[in-house]
Amino acid sequence: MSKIGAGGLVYVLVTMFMAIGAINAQNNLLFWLFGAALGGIVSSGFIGGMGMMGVCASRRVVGAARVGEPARVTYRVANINRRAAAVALSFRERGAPIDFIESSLAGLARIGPGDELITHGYVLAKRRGEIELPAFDVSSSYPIGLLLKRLHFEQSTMLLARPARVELAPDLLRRVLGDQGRDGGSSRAIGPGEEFFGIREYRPGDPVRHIAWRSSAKGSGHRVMLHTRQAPRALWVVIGVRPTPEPIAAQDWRERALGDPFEAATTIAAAAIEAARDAGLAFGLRIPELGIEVATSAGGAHAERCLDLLASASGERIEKEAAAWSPGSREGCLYLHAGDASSAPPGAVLVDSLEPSAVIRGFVVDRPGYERGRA
Amino acid sequence: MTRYDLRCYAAAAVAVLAYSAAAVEFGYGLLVLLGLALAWRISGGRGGSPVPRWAINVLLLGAAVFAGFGLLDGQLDVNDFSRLIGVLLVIKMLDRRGPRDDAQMLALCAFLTVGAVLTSASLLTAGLILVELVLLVPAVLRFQVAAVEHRAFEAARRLGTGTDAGKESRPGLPAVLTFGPEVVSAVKASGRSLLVVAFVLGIIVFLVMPRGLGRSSFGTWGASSAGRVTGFNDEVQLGVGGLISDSPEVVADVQFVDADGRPATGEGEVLYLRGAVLDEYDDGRWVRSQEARERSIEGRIFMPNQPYSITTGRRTGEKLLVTLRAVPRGRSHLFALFRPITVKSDRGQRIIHGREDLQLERVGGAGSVSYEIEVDRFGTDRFVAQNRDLLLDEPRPEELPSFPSDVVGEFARDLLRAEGIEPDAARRAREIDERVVNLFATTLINNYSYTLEVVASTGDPVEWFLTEGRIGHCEYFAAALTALCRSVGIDARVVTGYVATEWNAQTQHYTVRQSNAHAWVEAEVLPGIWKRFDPTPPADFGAIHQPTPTVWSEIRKLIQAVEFAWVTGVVSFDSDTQRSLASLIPGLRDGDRDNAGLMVSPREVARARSERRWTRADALRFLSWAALCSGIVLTFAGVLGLVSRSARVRRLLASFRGRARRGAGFYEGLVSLAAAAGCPRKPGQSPREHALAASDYFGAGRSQALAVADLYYRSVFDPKGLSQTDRARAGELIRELYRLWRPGMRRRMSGEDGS
Repeated sequence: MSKIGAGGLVYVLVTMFMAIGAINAQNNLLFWLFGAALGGIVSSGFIGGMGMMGVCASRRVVGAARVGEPARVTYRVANINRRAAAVALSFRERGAPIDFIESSLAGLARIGPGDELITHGYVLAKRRGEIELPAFDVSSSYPIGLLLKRLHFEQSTMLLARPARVELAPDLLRRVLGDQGRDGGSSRAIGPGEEFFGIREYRPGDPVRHIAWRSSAKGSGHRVMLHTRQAPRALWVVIGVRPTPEPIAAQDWRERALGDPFEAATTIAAAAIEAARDAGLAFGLRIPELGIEVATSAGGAHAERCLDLLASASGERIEKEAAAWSPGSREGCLYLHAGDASSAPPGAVLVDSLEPSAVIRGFVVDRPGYERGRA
Repeated sequence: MTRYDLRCYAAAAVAVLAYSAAAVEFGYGLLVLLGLALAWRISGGRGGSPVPRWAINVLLLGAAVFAGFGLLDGQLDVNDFSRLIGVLLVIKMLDRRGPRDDAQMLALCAFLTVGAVLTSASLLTAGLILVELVLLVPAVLRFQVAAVEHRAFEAARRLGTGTDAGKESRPGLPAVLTFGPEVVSAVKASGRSLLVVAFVLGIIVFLVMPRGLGRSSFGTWGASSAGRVTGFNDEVQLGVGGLISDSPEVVADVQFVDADGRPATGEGEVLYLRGAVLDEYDDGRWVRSQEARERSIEGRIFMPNQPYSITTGRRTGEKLLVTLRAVPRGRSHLFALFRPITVKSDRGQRIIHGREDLQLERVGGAGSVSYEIEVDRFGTDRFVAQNRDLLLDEPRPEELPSFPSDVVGEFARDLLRAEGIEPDAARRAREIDERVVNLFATTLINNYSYTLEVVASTGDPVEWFLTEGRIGHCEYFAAALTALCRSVGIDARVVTGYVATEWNAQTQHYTVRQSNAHAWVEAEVLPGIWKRFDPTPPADFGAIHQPTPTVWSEIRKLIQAVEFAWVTGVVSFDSDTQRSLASLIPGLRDGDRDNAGLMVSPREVARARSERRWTRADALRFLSWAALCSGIVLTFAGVLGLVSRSARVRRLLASFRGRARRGAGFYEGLVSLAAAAGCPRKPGQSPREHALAASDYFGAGRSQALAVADLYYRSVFDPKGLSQTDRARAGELIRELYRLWRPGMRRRMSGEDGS
């Protein structure tokens, strides 16, 4: 598909102007220049068309997307044309809802015949959740900007946008966990540590260097040594806010967080989980309204799982009688609510999602009626 | 400063040069070039930055005011627009912030180039425009790449991705820094292709575009050099400059040929090209009388090259071929020798000629005009020789010519008395008149001084010249001689025009410049017999119009020879030349030859088209033109491609030699073997896929075919190429395949397999 752009329109008008001038005045030099301008049109179509005919492309989103942060989109481009190079290619996402996403251009200066290259663009998620990138265009107005040649690729990709990255008030985790775990010497768990704990049967996936060779030689199968490590303190993040069926439309995530307590709660929860991960704590996630419960564990993979659940947490409320739940003795609980904390377990630290500025540092909304954040 | 920046500045500078050369506005050109240099200094160099917005807005406001004044004056023509574009170009160069500014800057360069073409079609302009295209096209191509990368960079930065979308650099063109050698190579290749196609298509359009249709349909615009002062004036105002222009600008190219088309003149011969004939004097001003105007005859040349009769006379076949490089729209003079018989022109136009003074004028569109005048140079002499007695017997008219100055009359009579000649015309024999005129002319030549300075006179300029000043330029001499003749009853008139003195032996033509404008006298020496007299001192005439040849003048002649070729071959290319070219094409009907590109009105074209049918001759003509155009395209593409890519050609040949040396030619054996047997390699099919397909097709030789394909891959991708053993092995495999596939080939060729 090709269309004439503003530059092309000017070019055509000037060419017509030259034609009329040449005919009107029988100016031979103008006749020649008119012919040269026509030559530009012909070769523009030929050079540009030849280059674009062999272009194939695919794309994928690299890494996790965060609301308010650009996520890298990789375009893999191949030129199956055996003679012509494609030059000055632009890549642009098409069809994605503009309320959800803002996409940037990706550019590629040249791809030679038979080459395969990768170029990068970015998308900026404006809201949390799964966002579809339905298609993208590859276009070029090379060589002289006369015609914009465009290839349309219907390749749907889902982008999972996690809640925005925010920084919580520094004393929030301390308030939640109190002095638990300070006597770390008495609480240990099996894991990568120095202290020997015992021996068990080998299971697929166990590191080879953990195999107890002497013990294995005595028996029929392999055995591995177990060690202990400092048992982490555990943090439960509980969202006691009902999800909103119809999220409010707002350009900025802060405005959405102010208008939608569930959004604010997921944002604070994500920040708390990341803070716990960075502090080496175990953490768990509960969203009783959606029936989500992730047991406490530590590590990056666990955090990724929790963040993905927070990213995709939405839908109808599950109407079932929630069983009474309370955190363990070595576990703290951060309970996020929207004004009603009656379901909060005893001992939980309560955070009101209607007041995100109380816990999120630098939470500022330049809108009348909202005060500057206090954290 | 990147190469892209340099190209942009160079393109802008050459566009300005082209326009200033076309409009002969070198002061303006210098100013704009200084502005561009300033822009380079301020915003172009390393560490430069665009001028603040408020300053740009002030400059734009100034430019708008400048344009507004031009508009209010009602004189906003091509030159005004071009000047404005030059100013905008400088402003834009000061304000290069992003791709949009660069696009506008490049568009302004293109507009200025068009403005130059609309202003002049001189060789210098054409040359500069060619240079401009060579600079502008690569700049546009690079801009396309730079713009894409810049937009990607800016968009990524807008999303807050930092700098990993491109290198951080000064605002404007960060992406240019990412130009790699492969991109440059691709841009160069595209630029070459584009220039070649544009150049060739330009020539084709130039050659085949019908001439004469739609001329002056939209007024005068588009005509180059229209309205330019030529140095020639159709009236003489003594004491005021006009005929004393010493500009070397070429006005016309003139040839004088005999009936066989050979030059009838040569080095040292001077042609007096008559322009205006002025027969009325009033207070220092010579003009053409109202009576002469009223007695003029008006006719029309309907078709190009249609002969138009001016006088009846013997057809000598001697022709004056004139190309006026720039004439204004409307009424203007045609310069001719005495005595014109017929005139032909390259275009249909009105012709006005004096019944007695034979002054020739045209009324038509602006631009370059070529015409051909058949003359009878010796017709008057022949007539006088045959009818001398009759002419001498004819009585003088009752009302004799006179000049309204007693001082001049007394001066003339004194001169005649001193020579013993009767001053009273009524009592003087007719045959003496020519001697009288010669006496006056000799007196002026010998006793009066020539100067190019504009002489300030007091009182009547002719009286002043004859009695006090005794110095002046050719107008004074011509005016004085005419006045003296009239004072003693001899009718005389001032003629202004050009003298063709600058003979170019290479091109067999005269170059006529503004400085060749001249004034002389025609006097009636016998009843109805007018003879030319030039009272300007010959030494001064020669110094001005026939300078001593120098090295520089010879070089200038050489340049003019090229320019003449340009003017006659390109600027004056018309329907006649088009027809001549068309006649070279076999199969073209005579009627078509006559009509090729010569239609004078759309109605006639439509009628001609409606009456025509597609004949075999038409088909032949079409094919011939197609072959001609293709030939031109291929020739130019080939020649230009080879010239510009000579280094590449050498590399290419070397690579072919290397490929043959490395032994990849055996694969062609496999391909041709398979193709001959009915399994050709399909487009896009890899060698290995083709080898498999061919072996499946024959049901044999799979391993051999695959081995050949593998050897081919190695020959292409292994930098060391194939060893001697490998090449021998490849040859053995091909021979083996031939043995295996030959039965199948035979079956196929004899049709035994039923396919």
